[in-house]
Amino acid sequence: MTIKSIALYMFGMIFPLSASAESLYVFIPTEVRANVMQDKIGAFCLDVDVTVFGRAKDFHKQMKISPPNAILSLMPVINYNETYSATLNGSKNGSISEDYVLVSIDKALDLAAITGKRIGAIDLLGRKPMSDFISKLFNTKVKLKRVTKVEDLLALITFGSVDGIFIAESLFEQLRLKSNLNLISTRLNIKLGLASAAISGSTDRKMTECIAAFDTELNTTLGVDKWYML
Amino acid sequence: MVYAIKQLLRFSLPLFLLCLPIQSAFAGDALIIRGKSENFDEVVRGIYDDVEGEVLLHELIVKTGASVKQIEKRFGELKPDLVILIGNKAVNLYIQFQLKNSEMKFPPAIAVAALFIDQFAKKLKNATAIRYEIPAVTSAVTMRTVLDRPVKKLGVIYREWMDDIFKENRRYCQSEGIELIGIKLPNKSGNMEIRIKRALNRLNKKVDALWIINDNSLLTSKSIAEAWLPLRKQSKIPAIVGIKLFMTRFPLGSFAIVPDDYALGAQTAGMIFEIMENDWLLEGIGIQHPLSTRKYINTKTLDKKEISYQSVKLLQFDDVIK
Repeated sequence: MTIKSIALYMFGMIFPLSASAESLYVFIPTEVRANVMQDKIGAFCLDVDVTVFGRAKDFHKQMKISPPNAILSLMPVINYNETYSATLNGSKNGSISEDYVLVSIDKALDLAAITGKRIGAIDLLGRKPMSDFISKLFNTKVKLKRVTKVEDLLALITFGSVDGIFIAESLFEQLRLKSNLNLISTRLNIKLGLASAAISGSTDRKMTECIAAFDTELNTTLGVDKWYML
Repeated sequence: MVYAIKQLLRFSLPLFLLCLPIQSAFAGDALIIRGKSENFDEVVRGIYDDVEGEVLLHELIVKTGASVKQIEKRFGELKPDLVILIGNKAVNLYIQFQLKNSEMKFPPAIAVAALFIDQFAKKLKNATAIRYEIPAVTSAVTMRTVLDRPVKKLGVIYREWMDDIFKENRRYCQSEGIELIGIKLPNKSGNMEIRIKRALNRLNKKVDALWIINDNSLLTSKSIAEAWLPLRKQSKIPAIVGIKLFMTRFPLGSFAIVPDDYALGAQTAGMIFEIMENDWLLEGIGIQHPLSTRKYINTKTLDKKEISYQSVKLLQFDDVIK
């Protein structure tokens, strides 16, 4: 190692490039692995420090330790992080929210008798907040079983660990393509916001601009087809 | 002297007061008994991340040759509300502990990351478990999603004692429209590799894919070298293995579907909360299947065998060997 390279290394340690770059945390549960999504988003947001989280727990933990300049997540997650305000809404077929359904095997779930039922869902907020969130949506207490990954929902229902799973209608369609189980969806009067970006304080426009420039493939993975500046 | 007491009070009282709410903040104490391994570290991390602040975790790491006395000592110190057993070594030691202390009232226990746990669970008192083996249906659906060809018949070689495991897997596969076709081999045989060869030849003719079970007696170094490797090399059908090594160094299959240890910990945490909310009683909490997996694919071997797949689905794998 030459003196020059040592000096450069030391300089890099003292003044890391990332210190000046704005940071973006992404947490949107999809079947695409977090490292793959990080590379894809990173390719659009060149001057931004992008970190994609595959698990709610990791995302919320990091939010506490080192809050980023902006987050890209589903609306319930953004609403939970009150210090961030939405600046960019993702939309699909002209709507910024999506219908959610309860999926069961062979027989539809009776919504009038949903109290105390075992319901599976992807964890967005962590144990207690997620439990409160679901209870509020259903207007009653259910036994919530959280999973870390989208694909785990299928295992949950296959092995009878739950009476039903709570998922977005688009995810239900994906599930039906994947599984030959006799999956029945029960429509709920519940709509939740699609992927959106939110910032804390004043953040450079390039952050939202790079998200708005995502290509069709990346947008489809994130469950949107357009972005609207707020 | 008075000054010393005053100083002691000055420093220890706030510390004592600080400790009070921390102590009472936890709903209970859980004792984790486990061997030393990176996989088990991940399981513990998954548990800890979820129960953090609600259940106080204590660890007892046991080594080969560990004695029941170690558990007795920790039990005496802690009086845990719950025991978590990680790995077969911990399960076996805890069985011995229960046998030696048969008069004791045991707290509920959850056994995880232990192979073929159903066999041992029968010997445990007041315990439940999460299996470590990934069910065939989980792996087969993953394979079916990515392959361009249908996966309607899945073949497996198993030993006599695994009959119940085979039947349960067959039932789950059936619900997904997959027929699990098994060839049963004796529990012990002097010529296991010849039997495996014959079984593989038969299966090759009638199934769309193979599911290779992690079993020490079926996957001995001799049987791998003399039966599995040569026959898998010739075969044009894809196979699922349960250890990544059997997809890379010893290429028996193109898909490795293995437990996600962190998620296994999170699933264990879910069970802990269920037991906690049930006043530390185990009633109605049966043995579960693991919900989450890590998925690996070897497209190099798939290409070699001219098995086509959807490239876009590769994004769903944790690692793609090209």
